[in-house]
Parts: sequence; C-alpha cells; structure tokens
Amino acid sequence: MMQTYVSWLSRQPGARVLDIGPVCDVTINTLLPHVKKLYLYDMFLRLGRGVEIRSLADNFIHLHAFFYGIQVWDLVDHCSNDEVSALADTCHALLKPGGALLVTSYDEGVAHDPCNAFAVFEDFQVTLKPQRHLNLRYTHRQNQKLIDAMKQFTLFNSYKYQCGVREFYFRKR
Amino acid sequence: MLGRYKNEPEQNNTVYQEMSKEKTFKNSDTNYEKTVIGEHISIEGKLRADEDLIIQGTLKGTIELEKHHITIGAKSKVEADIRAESMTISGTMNGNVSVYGKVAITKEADFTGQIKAKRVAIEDGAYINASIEMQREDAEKPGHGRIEPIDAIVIGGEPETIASTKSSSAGK
Repeated sequence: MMQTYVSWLSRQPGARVLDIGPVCDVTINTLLPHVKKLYLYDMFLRLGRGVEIRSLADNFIHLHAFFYGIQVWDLVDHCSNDEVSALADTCHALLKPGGALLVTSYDEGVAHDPCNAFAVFEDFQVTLKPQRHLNLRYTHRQNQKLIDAMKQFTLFNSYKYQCGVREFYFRKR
Repeated sequence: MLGRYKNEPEQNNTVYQEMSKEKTFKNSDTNYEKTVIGEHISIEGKLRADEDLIIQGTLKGTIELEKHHITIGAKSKVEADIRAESMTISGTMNGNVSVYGKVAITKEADFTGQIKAKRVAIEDGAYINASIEMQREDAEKPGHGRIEPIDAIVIGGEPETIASTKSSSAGK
C-alpha cells in the first residue's frame, strides 16, 4: 500500500505532501526523493498540548486544493467523532482533486500505548516507533465506521498488517 | 558572551554533543574554530562567518556560513534565513534554511519555516511546522557556486568586470 502511494506520488510532477504526524525522520528521508516538497505539521504533539484539531485548517487556510497526498497515520484513533469529521473536512479541502489520503488505524486489541510513529524505510517496510512523550486518548473504530467517517473520499484500497495495523488508502473525488 | 574557542568541546551543549557527534569528533583533532553568540546577546542584521557558529542568544536577520556548521542552541530565539554546510536546531527558530548537508532538529526545538537539505534528522518530540525540500545531489555546493560577475576592479586605470565563484577562496 505504501509503495503504491509513494509510486503514485513520484509520478506527479511537483508533488506536495502533508504529514500530520507523528513526525518521523526515517519516513521523511524515504519520501523526500519521491516528492517535490514535504510539509510537516505534527498534530499529535499539538493535541498533547491542548491545541485543537481545527488548528490544522487554520494553519493551511491559504493552501486549499494544494496537496497531492496527506498522511494521517493513526491520528483518527486519538480523535473524537467530531474531530474526525473536522479532520476529514480539512483534508478534503487541502487535497487536490484525485489526491491521495493515507489513513492508518489500530485494530481492536492491538497495543497502542504508547502512541507510535510509522517509520517507512526505503524498501517500504513499515516499523512502529514508540513515542513515549505522547499520552493521548484512544478510540477504536471498526472498518466500516472509519470508512464512513471519511465519506467525502472514495476508498481506493485497504490492507491489514499482521501486527494489527490497518491501512486505508482514499482518493478525493 | 561572544567568544571564540579553539579545540574546546562544548561541554554544556548536549545538542552539540548528541546530535553532531560526527562533526565534533571530526573536528576534535583539527585546529578548528567556532564562535558562540551567548545567551544575553541580541543581534539584528546580516552575519557571515568562515567558521562554525553556535547561537545561544537572540538573532534576527540573515546568516551565511556556507562551509560550516551552525547550531541554534536550546535557549536561543532566531528569526533568520540561513545558509550553511550543516545545521543543528534546538531552540526556537522561524525562517528559511538552505543546507548542503544535514539538518538535525532536536526534541527541544520549535521550528517554523522552510528547510532545503540533503538529509534531515528529527528527534521525536520536536515541535515543527515546516516544509522540507530535498537538496538534490547535483545542487551546487556552497562555496563552489555558479560563476557570476563580481564588483568591477580597476586594472590599468580602466574598470573591468571579472568572473569568479562566490567561494571564499576566490581571488587566491
């Protein structure tokens, strides 16, 4: 899935990508050769400091339909339903038509404490990297509930790793 | 404190020790110099240096150290556009960074701006609102830039424009 996502990005001339955390330098250095510019706005750290999810929209208010791809990782697991709805609206506004939204989420029963960053290596292997400085609440959502929460998007593909991490690859219509 | 040191590791700067070990080790057996802009120093304007620089104070403006390492210390506040060979950010910084080599951002950092670098190392917990662009392999190395005209010099009474790189070795 990650390879599909990166491969698609690398075919987009001047691809701009947004990563809303947790920021991981392994992933950054893997993605950088494939994109023109990578934008980092760590929403996990901000949630930990009491900054609301709408700050994402406020910060990128001038960049509507600007990004080719947005990586949400497992942010939805740490948001309320209202926050997930606001997040989906924001990502939809920021993505170009046809743009890709990559969402990951933990399956039920998978250890999610502490929060993890997703380290994507050059061979597109994904490793979890514990973020012990983060202490965020966790909300589990079943597959269909998560897909419904992203109703503005079309589900392009989904995948579940053996470790219980679920990956959802959406496209903006 | 604004001071210059020779062969003296920065004992109190864990950032410099932890994030730039390679640089520290490399330099420990050579005669290198670095400048420290101390915690109680505030500078506004353009700063150009031909040695490593550590900022612990406040700085606003532009900084050029094309062949050297710059460290933005944990207590510093910097609002600047910076060009350097490599860089470590630990303090609060707002601005644009263009680095030929690696930018290291530690967990104490609060960075807002744009980064252009060959590689980035970001410690977990760093507070970042940034865009990052890769410095491609074929990008011109600082100090070995494109040839362009510089100020006219007088040879035999007539002004003549010569060409030179922007390298500090120009004119040698």
